[in-house]
Parts: sequence; C-alpha cells; structure tokens
Amino acid sequence: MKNGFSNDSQVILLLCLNLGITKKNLNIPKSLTLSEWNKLTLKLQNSEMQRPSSFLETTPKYWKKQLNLTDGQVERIQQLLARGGQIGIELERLNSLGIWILTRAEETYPKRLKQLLKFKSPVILFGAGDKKLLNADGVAIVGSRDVDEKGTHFAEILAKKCTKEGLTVISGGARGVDSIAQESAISEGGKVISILSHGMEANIKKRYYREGILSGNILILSAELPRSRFKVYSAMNRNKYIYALSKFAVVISSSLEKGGTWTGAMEDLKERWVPLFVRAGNQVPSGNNRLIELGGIALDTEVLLNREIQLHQWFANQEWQKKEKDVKNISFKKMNQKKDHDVEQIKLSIGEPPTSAKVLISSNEINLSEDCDLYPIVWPHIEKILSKPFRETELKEILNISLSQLQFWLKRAIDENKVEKLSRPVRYVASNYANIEKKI
Amino acid sequence: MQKRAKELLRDMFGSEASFYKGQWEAIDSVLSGNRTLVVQRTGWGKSIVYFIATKLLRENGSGLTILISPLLSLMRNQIDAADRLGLNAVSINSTNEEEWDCIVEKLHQNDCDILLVSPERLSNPKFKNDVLPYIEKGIGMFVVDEAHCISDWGHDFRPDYRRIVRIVNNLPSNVPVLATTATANDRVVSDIEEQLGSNLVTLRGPLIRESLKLQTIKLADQSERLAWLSENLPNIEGTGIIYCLTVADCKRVAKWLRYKGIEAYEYYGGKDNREELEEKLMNNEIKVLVATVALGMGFDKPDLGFVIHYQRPGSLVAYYQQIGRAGRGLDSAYAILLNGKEDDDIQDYFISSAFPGVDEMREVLNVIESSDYGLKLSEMMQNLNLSPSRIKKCLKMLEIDGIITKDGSKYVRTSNRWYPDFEKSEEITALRRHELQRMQDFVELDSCLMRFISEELNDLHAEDCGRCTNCAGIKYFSDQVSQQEVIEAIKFLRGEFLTIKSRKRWPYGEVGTESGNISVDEQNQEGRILCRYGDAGWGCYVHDGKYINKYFSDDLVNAAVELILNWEFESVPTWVTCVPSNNHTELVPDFARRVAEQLKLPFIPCLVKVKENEAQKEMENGFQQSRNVIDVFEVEGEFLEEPVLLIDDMVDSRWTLTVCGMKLRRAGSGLVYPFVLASIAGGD
Repeated sequence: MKNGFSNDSQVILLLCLNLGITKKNLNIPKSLTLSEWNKLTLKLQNSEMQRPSSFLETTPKYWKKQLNLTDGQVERIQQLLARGGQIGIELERLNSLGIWILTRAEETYPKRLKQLLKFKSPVILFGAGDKKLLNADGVAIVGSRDVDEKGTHFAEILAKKCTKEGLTVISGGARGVDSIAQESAISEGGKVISILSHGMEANIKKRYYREGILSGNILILSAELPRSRFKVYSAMNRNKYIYALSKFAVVISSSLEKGGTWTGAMEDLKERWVPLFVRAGNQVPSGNNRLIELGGIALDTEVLLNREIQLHQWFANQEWQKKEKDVKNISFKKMNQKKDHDVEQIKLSIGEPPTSAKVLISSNEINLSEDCDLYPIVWPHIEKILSKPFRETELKEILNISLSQLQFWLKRAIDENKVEKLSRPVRYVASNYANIEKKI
Repeated sequence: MQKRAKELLRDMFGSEASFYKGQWEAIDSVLSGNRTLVVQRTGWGKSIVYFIATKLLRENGSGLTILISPLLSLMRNQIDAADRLGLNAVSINSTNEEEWDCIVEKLHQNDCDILLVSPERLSNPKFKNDVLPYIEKGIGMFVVDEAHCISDWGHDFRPDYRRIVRIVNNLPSNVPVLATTATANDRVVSDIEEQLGSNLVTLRGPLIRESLKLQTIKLADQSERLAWLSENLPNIEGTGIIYCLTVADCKRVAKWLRYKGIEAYEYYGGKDNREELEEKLMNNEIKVLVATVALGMGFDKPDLGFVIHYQRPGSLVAYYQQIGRAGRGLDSAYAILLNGKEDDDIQDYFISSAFPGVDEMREVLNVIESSDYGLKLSEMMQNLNLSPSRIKKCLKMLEIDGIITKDGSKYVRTSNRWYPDFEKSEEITALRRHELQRMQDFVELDSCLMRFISEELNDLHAEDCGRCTNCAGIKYFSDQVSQQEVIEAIKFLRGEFLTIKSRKRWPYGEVGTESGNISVDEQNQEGRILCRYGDAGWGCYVHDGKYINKYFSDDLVNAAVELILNWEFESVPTWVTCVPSNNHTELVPDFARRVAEQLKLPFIPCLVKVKENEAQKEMENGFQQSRNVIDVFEVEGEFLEEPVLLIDDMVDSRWTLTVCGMKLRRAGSGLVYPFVLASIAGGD
C-alpha cells in the first residue's frame, strides 16, 4: 500500500474492517469483532507468529497449529484475507470523501485511547480533518440533549474559555450540550474534536462540518462505519472515547440515574479515566448533584468567570484519585510474552456462530460495549416463541414487555434477517420457520 | 511453475508454442508479488501474460482476476481471446445490465476467471454492493490495461484512471497488480512508476512494427482529402480503418465514400450499433470503418490491411498507437497520414479544450462551496458563465480528485483539501504544443518515419525500418488527386445542409419573465443551415463574407435560394425578415433583402434591437445565453400576419432565433422558419 499502512495494519483492515454489506442468502465472511480481534492478538503474541503481518507470509496450516484454531476459524480468516480487492476499493471511496482510517497498529493512533481503554479501544478509527488535533490537550464537554438556559450559558462560556487557553473542545456532536459547546468554540476560532456515534459520511457533507474540517478547526472521529445509522450501543461506546481522548471532562447537565450522560459519567467515575467535573450551583439538574456526591468535582460558574483563573491549571490542581491497576500493553511494539490471567479465561470465538447468551454470561470480564446488550440474551427466547407467527400485541403480552421495546427488538431481528414480517394481518415469525408458514 | 506455465501455453496454442521474449519474465515478476508494469508493442502478447498468470493463480485456489479496460470494444475482444484460451471471462458494463444477475450467479459459483470492467465501474455503488460481495473467492489479481491512461503527461490521459491509481495504492500487498501498455515514453513510464509506487518493476521491449509501410501525404483541404480517399481506397488491398478527429468528419467521409460506391460506415463513441460494425469489419464484410479514436485500443484484427488518417493526430504517441491496429498478422500493411494546414486549427481546439483550467475549476468549486449541501448542474449554470460541457469536465476532474462527490443529482464538497497545480497544468499544455510540433516535423521528414516515431517513444532499439516511403524511396500512393474528383467532392460538401431544431423549453430557472416550456404557438419551426462555418463547401465563403468583404457574395445568395426552393414547408412563407445587429447593421439585412428579391417575396425588417447586450458568443451556457437576449428584441412597424422566413448569418445556441421567433409570433405573425448561413455549434 502506498497510503502508508504497515503490513500489520493491512492485516487488521483485512480481518476487522466491516464493509457494511448485508445480503440475504449470501455467506459473507463476518469481520472480526473487537473482542475476537483482542483474543486473536493475544494468541498471536504468545505464538511464533507474533505480529498480524505474519498472516501474509505464512500458510493456513501454520496458523492453525500456532494459534490452535479450528478449521472453521482458519477458513474464516482465509476468506477475510481474500477481501483485499474489496477493501482497496472501499478505502479509495472513503479517501475520496476525505475520510481516513487509523488502526490500533498505527503510530498516529491516539495514545490516550490505548492507555486508558486498553482492550476496549477500537481497532479501527475513522476520521476526517487534521490528525494533529488528536495530540492536543482537550476538555470533554458533555450533557443532555435538552438543556436549560443556564446550562446553555455555562457550556458556552466554558467552551470559549477553553478556546482562549488553547484547549480543544471534545464532544459527541449531538443536539443540545454537544453542539452548543462545539459551536461556541468554533465561533471563537477554537479547535473541536467531534466524536460521532454514527453517520459520519452524511455529517461531513454538511456545510458546518465541511468548513470546519477544511479550515483545520474540526476533527471528526468515529469508531463506527461512516455510513452507519444510530444504534444505542454505539452511542454508549462513543462516550468512552470522548472521556478517554480528553484530559478533563465536564458534565453540564445530567438526568438522575438515566440517559447517556449519566451512564457515561458513572463509567468515568468507576474507571477513573479522567478527572470528572460537574456543573454545580442552585438550579442544576438532580443528576449533577448526585454525580458530585459520588465523586465528581464541583465546578461553579464563578471559576469560569474569574479571569484570573487558568482553567487548565485549576483543573489540574483539583484532587482526583487515579485507579490503581496494572497497565496492560496492547501495542505490538513491545511484545508481552507474559501470560495474562485475565485474558486466559476468555475463549477464542472466531469462526463460531455469533454470540450466544451462555458464552457471554460465563465470561468473567463484563464488557460494557457488547455484554450489556440484552438483545442477544433475550432473542433466543423470543425466537423460540416465534416458531409460530404472532401479532405485535399478542407477543408483547406473552413477553410481558412494552410495545416499543418489542418493536425495537423486532426491528433489529428483521435487520439481521432473523425474523420475517407477514402481512394481512401483520404478524412476525422466525425466519427459520417462515418457509414452512408460507407453504401452509 | 515455469514448467506449468509452458504447459498451459501449449494447451492454448499447440505443442510448438513458446513464450515471446519477456512474457515469462513478466508472469514470474507479478506472481512473485512484484507490482509489475509491462511496456511492449501491440501484438507482442500482453494478454498472454495476464491470461497465463490468471490460470496459474486460479489453479492455486485464488480468486478471479479483475481486468480494468477503458473501452467497450477492447473488452469484447479480450473476452473472445480469453474464451479461445479456455478462460471464462465476463464483463459487467453499462450495456449489459440485463445480464448482471446471471453474471453475479456465475461469480458466486466461482465460475469466472476474469471480470472485465471499466474504471468508472469500480466506484459504482451498485457494482460495489451487488456484484463484488458475490465474488466467491475474492479478487486474485488486478490488471490495469492501457496503463498509459494513468499519466496526464500521456496522450490519452483518462481522469477515471486516477481512481484506479488510488485503489491500487489502497490494495493490501497480498493482491498482485499488473499494469500493461504499448505506448509509453520515458516520461509516461516514470510518471506511472511514481504513481503506482516505487517498488514497481518495469519490463520494456522494442516498439518497431515490422509489417508497416508508412507514408505521409500533404493535401490542400477537405475536398482534396475526400477526393484522394475515393480515388485510392479501391486500389488498397484488404480492409481497414480511416481515423478522423471529429464525429462530424466521420459521418461526412463515410457518406462521401458510400456515395462513391465504397462500403464505408462511420463509427464513434455514441453510435448504437458499434458491435455490429466491428463484427462486419472483422469479417471483411465492409471495406472500411471511418472512426474516431473510440475504435482503438485493443481492437484486434490480425489482417487489418491499412490505417489511414484523414487528419493529423495530436501526437506521435497517439499516431503510433493507432497505426498499431494494422498488419498484426500480415507481412505488409499500410499506414497513411493525410495532412494539411487545416489540421492545426482542430488540434489547437483540442489542446485548449481538453482539460479545464485551474481558474475554471476554482470558479465551479466556489459555487459549490457556497451552498449548504451541494448543487445540481442546472443550479450551477445560473451562477457560472461556463458551458455545460466545461462545467461537466470541471466536475469530473474535481470528483476524481475527491474534492467533490456526487449525491443523487447534487455535487457536494468533500472534506479533502484542494491543491491545484497551476504549474503542472501549464507544463502539460506546453508539452501538448511540443508534441504537435513534433507531428508537424514528422510530415516534413525525408528520413525513416518509423525510426522517428520509435525515438519519440524513447525506444532504445530504434533503427531504420527499410519499409517506409522514405526508406524504400517509393511513393506507395500518389499525392496528387484529379481535379474532376475534387470538384465532385466540393459539390458533395455544398449539398450537405443542416437543420435547426426548435427550442421547446427555457433553461432551468427564470429567464426574464419566462420559464418552463415555450408555448407551442410561440416556438419556431424546424430551420435550415447552409453549411458548417469554415468548411470546404460554403463555409469558407461565409467566413470571407463576414470578416473580409463585409458582404455575402451572390454565390451564397444563390445557394440559399436553391436550398429554400427545395424546402418542403408546412405552410410556405410569404415574407422575409432578419435578425438585427448593432455591429454589422447592413450585412445580414442586405443578404436577406437579396434572397427575398430572388424569391420574389417582400423583405420587412420589422425586428429591432431595443437594448445593448453582451456579445452572444461570450455566453457559455443556455441560461446565460437566453438571459442575454430575452429582452433585447422587439417587433416594430408593419408586417404580415403570415408565415415568415427569419434569416441570420450564424447560429450557435439558437436562443437568439428562439427569442426573435417568439416576439414575431406574439406580435401576430404566422409560423416562423429560421434560415441561417453557417453553424458554429461546437462538438460534431
């Protein structure tokens, strides 16, 4: 590749880049998930192969032996490695839109993400804009979509103060606090990193982002495919990246014990990624107060309005205890030959059918990105019920859940071709049984 | 592996077959994982390299080969060749959409060895989503045919090849890449090397074509060239190709030859029955195809007896490539270059219009950038005084470079920065002029013609050919034409009138107070044009009349009257009027009056110009053209409420005639029939 991807990165792209193609009746090899790749990485490091690039130089027979893979797993890797042509064409398409890619094996991959998130750091990042922004000190400004006037004002002056001090504003690009912070920084000529949970491709075509990117003031980053649509779990994952990429985080407004802002902030409090500041004062939402009780550091408007105070310094002076934990190194530069007992217990699952509930629950490490998703756990149950067609209303009674929850799961199952929608009357049936139904 | 390669070769060509010099080396290079560029003359057998390499890869369980080929005619020939060698080749292109499902099924069954596609196809979303995923074993090898199209220093740069370069540069190193070309000089080779990566291995062979007999013949004008063709073609053995620079020339030459009893048909990019015509030439059912360069690369007819150039091409590289079609499987074939002073004008036009300048691209980009979410072409025309074809060329270049992208019918700015290279675009124009100069030098040569070409192509093996007209000291064909034949050709050219279609719709947007469709009652009838401006028939007379004598001669009046008298009108005009002009107040009215006198009809100059406007020829697209004339003409004084002949000297966009016709109809005239001396419309 002339575009500068190392051989390691090439293999990562071949194995892990999802081309976003779903076809009925077509067995397209599934790219490796984050956890599958992590497991394979550890196996590689503990074998003679050592590095991903070794896949390009050795035979399937050798991998099988070295990595102790099943035939199915070997075949899947072979199929994925044969995607070179398609990958090249897709990368060209993304390049021509102005989107670049970083893999975890690249020098330019943001180090903070790897250091703080370790195995949860995304294998592949998509971005648009000046990569240099990734290395600057940044302040995460997060908060709910619906924010009151005071919160808006606070976000504005915070973003402007950051800009004045040369701090990058990092946010999630959503409605509400995210865009208020972003726009305030941009209007003052500041720099912004916008980490999107979906739809990067559509967003960079909009004038606001386009002009910000071209002028070097905005960098867009996403761990999701540029053409992806909104999914709850990718929005949740995105929170991690916002925190881990910044040096300090400020919560503008959070509802109590619900919503993305709350979940994200609680995760930061638990994992101690970055010092968490929370807007304090008389009329802040109840979530803010609770976060402060749980360990968040109060931030008053007075601090922002005081011209004497250097924000960066003030932030750094507040007491914040780091989590004591050994640092796992997942870079390929320093090979770690030591066996990691945490990881040993996780079984390599490439080549096997996707996530069954049993495997997930028995896993020791709770992975917030995937393991908390209820759908894979409940779906087998629902699927069994749907061996016969049911209407939505009947099904919601049987399962004893709300209609909207049911519709959400059904939609997901339809997207995955696990369920078919029958008409007159509208009913749903598991795809496995759909054909039988049609004959009847 | 070499052993197996030889076996495969013998399976294909019989037990005596062996590789040409360099063929095995090329196969070995690409299969050893080197990105490889092969530069070898046409007929050397580049296709053997990728066919055998494909076979070997397939036998080892690899996926199919994607062969990128710029032209449809090329694809058809390659598919046939592959079939003969026992390889299953298919093409997915815009003309066979109904077969896609069936082809996809084959791909899915791993039943195809080679998939031929155009460079545009690779980025087509339907292809990406509905074809590529079905390729059972993925893509085993990438072959870029006619790789000189990559280089904008080359004679045949194709913007879509830039995308190929980017794709190749994004391919992981486990995908073999082979690029091939027959026509690349040092500069183009080093440009290809630079673009495809420094580890590219280049294999080059000699370029001389041993069966070709070259001759150049200087003639005065089109009528002499036509006469030469009709006199000499019957004496040339076999069948062949006549290359013309424009579609209009192809049509005219083919028509003339048929008129003279020679089986000749025109062939160009937009023609619908191209496959059938190629087939006929293949089977020697017709004497000659009169073609633009659309019939070119890869058209493989071993017994093609001659290639004649009706005009001088823009460069010797292009010329070399085009004559390379002839005599591949013959001991002797002719390459004849007709040339004359007119050729330079056409080439000048090609050079200046080939690729858009940086300024134009910036103008287009500015308009797109000032929109929130992109613009349609029609929206751009309102804000740009550039012709649609210019705008389209700019859009194409910007799109290929990833500066804009197409979203439905809108062109949208991407997040890539634009770094226009002023210097390079000027250098390229300078190079084109230099190449044109070398072409002029070529026709003046008294030394070996083939050697001159080989040296221009930096062929290290260049030597005197011993066969060209200069080496052999023989004029294979006379450079004289009989006067009688020339006179007949002039008559033919003069009989070639053109028609003016009426405008039926205003351009997108508001033109003055007009928009949408033009009411049928206010449209012109179909009109007539005596000639093309500047051609060897009446075209020169029109030029002299307008710019030298400031008076259109009686010959033109007579020719106009003859054309009008043979015109079958729906309702015959009973009076004559003309388009007024403020610059040449008498030129057109005087001509119209004399035509009217001969027709014995009243001449009533009732159209007047009520407002100064910009010169219409400065307006570059429909929106600007119609807006420039919409409010400058009015009907004044007496006239007849009956059908009328509306006369002007030149027509280009037809908007002046359209607006004048509308004013006449609104004032109460009968049907309006436009008549114009010359067409200056570009293109064909």
